[in-house]
Amino acid sequence: MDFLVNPWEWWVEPFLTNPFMRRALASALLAVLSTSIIGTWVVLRGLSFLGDALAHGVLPGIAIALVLGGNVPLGAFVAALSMVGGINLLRRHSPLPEDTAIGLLFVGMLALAVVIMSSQSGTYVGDLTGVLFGSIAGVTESDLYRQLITTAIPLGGALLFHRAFLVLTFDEMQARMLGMRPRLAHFVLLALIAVAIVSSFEVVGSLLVFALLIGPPATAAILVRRVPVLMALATVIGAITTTVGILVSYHHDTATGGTMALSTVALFMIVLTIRTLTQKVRTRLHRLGHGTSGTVRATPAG
Amino acid sequence: MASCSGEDSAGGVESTPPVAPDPPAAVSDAPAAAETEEVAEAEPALIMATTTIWADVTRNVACGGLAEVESILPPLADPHDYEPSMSDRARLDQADIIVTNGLELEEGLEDILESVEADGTPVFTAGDYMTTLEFDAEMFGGHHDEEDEGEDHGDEDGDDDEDEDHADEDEDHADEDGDDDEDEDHADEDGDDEDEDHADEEDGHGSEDPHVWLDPVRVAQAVENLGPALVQLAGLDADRVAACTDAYLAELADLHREITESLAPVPAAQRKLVTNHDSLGYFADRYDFEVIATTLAEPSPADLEELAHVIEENGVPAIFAEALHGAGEASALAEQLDGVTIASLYTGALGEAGSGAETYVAMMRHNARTIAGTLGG
Repeated sequence: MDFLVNPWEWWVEPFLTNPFMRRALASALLAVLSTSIIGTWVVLRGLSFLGDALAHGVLPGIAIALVLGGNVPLGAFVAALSMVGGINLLRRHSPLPEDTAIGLLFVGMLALAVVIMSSQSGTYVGDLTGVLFGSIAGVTESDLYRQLITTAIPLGGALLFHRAFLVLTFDEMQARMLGMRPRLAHFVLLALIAVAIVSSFEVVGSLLVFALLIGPPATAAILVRRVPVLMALATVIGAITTTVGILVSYHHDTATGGTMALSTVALFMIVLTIRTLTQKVRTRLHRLGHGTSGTVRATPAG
Repeated sequence: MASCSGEDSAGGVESTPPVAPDPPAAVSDAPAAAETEEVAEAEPALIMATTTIWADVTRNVACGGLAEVESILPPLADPHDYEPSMSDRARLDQADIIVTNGLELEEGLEDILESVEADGTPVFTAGDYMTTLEFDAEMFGGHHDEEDEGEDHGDEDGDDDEDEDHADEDEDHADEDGDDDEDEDHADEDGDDEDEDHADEEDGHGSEDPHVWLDPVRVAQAVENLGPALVQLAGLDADRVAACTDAYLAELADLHREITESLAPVPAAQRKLVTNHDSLGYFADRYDFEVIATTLAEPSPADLEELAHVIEENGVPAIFAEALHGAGEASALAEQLDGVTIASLYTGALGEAGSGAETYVAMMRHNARTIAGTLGG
């Protein structure tokens, strides 16, 4: 309960006294910014599974980059793009629904990464766990500058294609009639998801990138409808949960990436529970005509 | 000097028993200590070591009580993939010096160690002060092993070929200092052909075997350099650290002698090790063993078959499994082979209290005894 009793010491002081905490926070916030805004489209278009697949589909690219000693983010991006292309191809040529194609490519990419890494047995290139969980406690200033640049790409893309994505999401038929080429818009969105993932996974890990990609937008989507508001709220939610995650890891010695992901998912559950309860209360109140506040408190609160 | 014996400092992360009042004069002795403001007069210096093993070694060099020595990795955690917390990071920031193994052992900590160093905490990398061996990447295929059998006792020793190696100058004086003349010569001969293959294959990426601490002579080489580093960078009392370093070096020399003696009865034909984690390269190099096969994580059925073949062909009586990884594939393999047992070694971390491997010296003694007892002596 220290965070209530000594709010200053719990919430603020760690950032004031430790430069590494400030860098971790800055890095987490940059990751939140790109993932929340791109993630909003992921959630609204129902592409969560694809997002998950992409977040892990980068692994073989990383594995190849590690083995050959190449540029890791580049390898990740190439892998993500080839996965996007692969999904499109499979979708067009197989009679099965899209999620089957995604699932197959997802597991195929993961397996490929494992096989590539295992072919190197006996040497220690096994950096993949680092890729899964990131190392936000080790962010350097140059990492931050690089992240700043790569965060600008998904943000700029989201701004540029905002109308196209909007029409694509809510009325694909109309998009086609308006000559907006929904296929192209869809492909651009997938590429932006890939960039958002690649720009963030190095610091926060690919597991957490996926948590950030859908956690905050999903939480925000429970509460609001309008897309720009949703994006803003998702960013705020992501900022809160990652900050809490960093602080819990600092005060209670828990793994940082996992704690941030967990607090993001936990907040979604809490918000969903509260909303469900208030809705129940509201309908009951409605049925009762004008219920007193006493009956409200009597409803089971979990 | 008497207070420096390895036995007083059991493994674990607690602070060590107070041996003597802290030496406030140490700060003025060491000019470099002025940079690290945290060398407070009242508080003992804080030294963070990555593994429990290096923490124990460091504790001995720091005379037990001259500094607080902690390990980042909890006992039995795998250094290859430990994910640290923000509070680990904070602890590293507070340290006066960090002692690491290096050679890419602490993969999970690599980024963090880099950023801590950039933030101004000095890092002592033990692996920089000794000659290293390369990993045998073909361990599984068995090509090398079969071809080289009979002449390749010490695996490859990188002495001559690793010109680009960072520890170039260190190698020379390591050779002078170490009492390892009996090994060095023939290791040089058979090192040549192998090393060239490896350089081509592996591009120098993570190809050095990081498990250096399983050779007490190499640990002694690091210890010689660790003492001065602690004095200079953590502000410890120079005279006392020098005395404790000497005492510990003597203990390590004794340990080396003892291990050599206890392994002496093992006949040459039996000096073959099969392990479940590729960590005994330096041990084998020092004590004239040969690591003929390893059951790494996720061996393919073909690997296992090959391994069974190698074990049977060589008449190996045991697979050495390490406490850290669990026997897993190794025990399955042992069950299917007649007369092959699993023997447990402490290689990656110190054992818990009561395990007989609470300190580095005790751990090495335990390992040597286990190997001697299993392979026949």
